[in-house]
Amino acid sequence: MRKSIGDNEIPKGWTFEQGLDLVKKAGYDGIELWLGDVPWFQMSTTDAQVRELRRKVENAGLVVSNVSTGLHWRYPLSARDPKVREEGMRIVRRQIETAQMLGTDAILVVAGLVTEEVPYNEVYSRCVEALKTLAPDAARAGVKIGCENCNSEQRFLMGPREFSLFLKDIDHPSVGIHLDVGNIHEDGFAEQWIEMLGPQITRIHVKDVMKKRGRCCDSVYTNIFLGDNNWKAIRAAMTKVKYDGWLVAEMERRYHYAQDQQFYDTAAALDRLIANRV
Amino acid sequence: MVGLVGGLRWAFAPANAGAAAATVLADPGSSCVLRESVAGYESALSSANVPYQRAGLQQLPCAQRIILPAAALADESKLAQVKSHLEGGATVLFESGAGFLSDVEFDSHRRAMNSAFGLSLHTPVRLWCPSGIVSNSPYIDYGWPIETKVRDFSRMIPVYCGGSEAIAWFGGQPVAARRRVGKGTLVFLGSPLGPHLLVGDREAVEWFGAFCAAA
Repeated sequence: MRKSIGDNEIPKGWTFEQGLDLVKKAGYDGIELWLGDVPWFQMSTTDAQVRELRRKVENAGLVVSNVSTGLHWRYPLSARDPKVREEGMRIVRRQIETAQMLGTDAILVVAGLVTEEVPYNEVYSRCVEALKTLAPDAARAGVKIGCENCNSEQRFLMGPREFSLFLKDIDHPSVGIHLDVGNIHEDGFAEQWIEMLGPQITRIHVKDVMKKRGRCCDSVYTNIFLGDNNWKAIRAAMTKVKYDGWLVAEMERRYHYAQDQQFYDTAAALDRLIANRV
Repeated sequence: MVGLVGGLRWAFAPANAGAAAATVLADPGSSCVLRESVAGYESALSSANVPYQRAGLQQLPCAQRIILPAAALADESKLAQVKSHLEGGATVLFESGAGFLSDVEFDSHRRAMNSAFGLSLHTPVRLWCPSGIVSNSPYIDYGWPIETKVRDFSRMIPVYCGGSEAIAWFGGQPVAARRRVGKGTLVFLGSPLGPHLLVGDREAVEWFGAFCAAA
């Protein structure tokens, strides 16, 4: 397994190059690039600028692990307004294009958003339809679309069996799950998700969660090994399903001081997880 | 879009089961704001084994009932064609998708609808804001052909009912109307129903079944 961390973790005010330097020094193999979440990688970033990002990543001795985005919270594929949905599709297509340019084979998509306004069955149908449409584009580019399990925030696909049926309905080898082991909260157990969805996992987001602290509040997520995830079981499940891909740190709770230290501490925790010394 | 309507059946006795093309699903083409609505009506008709013909507005065949999904027509010639079918005795289900138009586009649509059918439409209302729905309930209350509640679809077109019969309300405000035009009947829906048909919403399917039976 290889370890990576998002460029959206780079402390505010730092340049991309400074961030890459820190990521490399902390011992990561790669970096996750967040389209729309950082100044250097926006929807308006040109192809030439994207290639320049790749050059900088490689010059730092790293590779791009995957392309993610938070833009689908604003432009969900499940929106009722067709114009919003179309923008959501455009974002996925740009992720696919840039992933290819950046030399990676995976993107993260937050597929749908159940709200009081847009009910579950509509979200399900629109997401299946959208992903069926996008999957051939991804296949042509040699990229896999990983739908993230944002259980609590999305209120969608809350269990592994439900997620599995969703992927079955899409029925395309280029669409899988970008599994976040911190997002399952008290609704289940990450190791069971890994077991059930193993071959369809495109990437794994790693963070810990304090299950009894409620949902979606600032303090619910924490650093690896500080929360309630069963890391021994999670690691064992990775072995069971032969997951040998990227572990991508997503530290939602940030250090208030010495922000660079979080990169080192997280890298050390990932090393222990990979080495199965939990 | 994946239809979830399969397996649902409404009690439906076609008013003229023997006639060919008793029902026409008229695709408004570029004037259709929500393509999923077309798929919704198609899915509901197929699922209930109702024979229907799909047609474009350019060559609209005669039919007992004509369904126009998520339409936002502003083209007077197309509206005139719809009107000619109404005058000949057809029942037209005109589902408006105009809530998703820009202000300028909506104004053209409103003028054209008024000119063609004498129907007065109010400015679209957004039913949801970040803090929730603007009313107490997210349901449209239908009173004809059956009394039922169907979920809102985020935006609605209130309709002024002078010369028309209100058939559905949101928070007491009419959002659907039935009106005689010539020998026919125009049924205007200011809140889209088609997307609900596509995902198999039980009450939407029942309402549409009752409409087909009544029209």
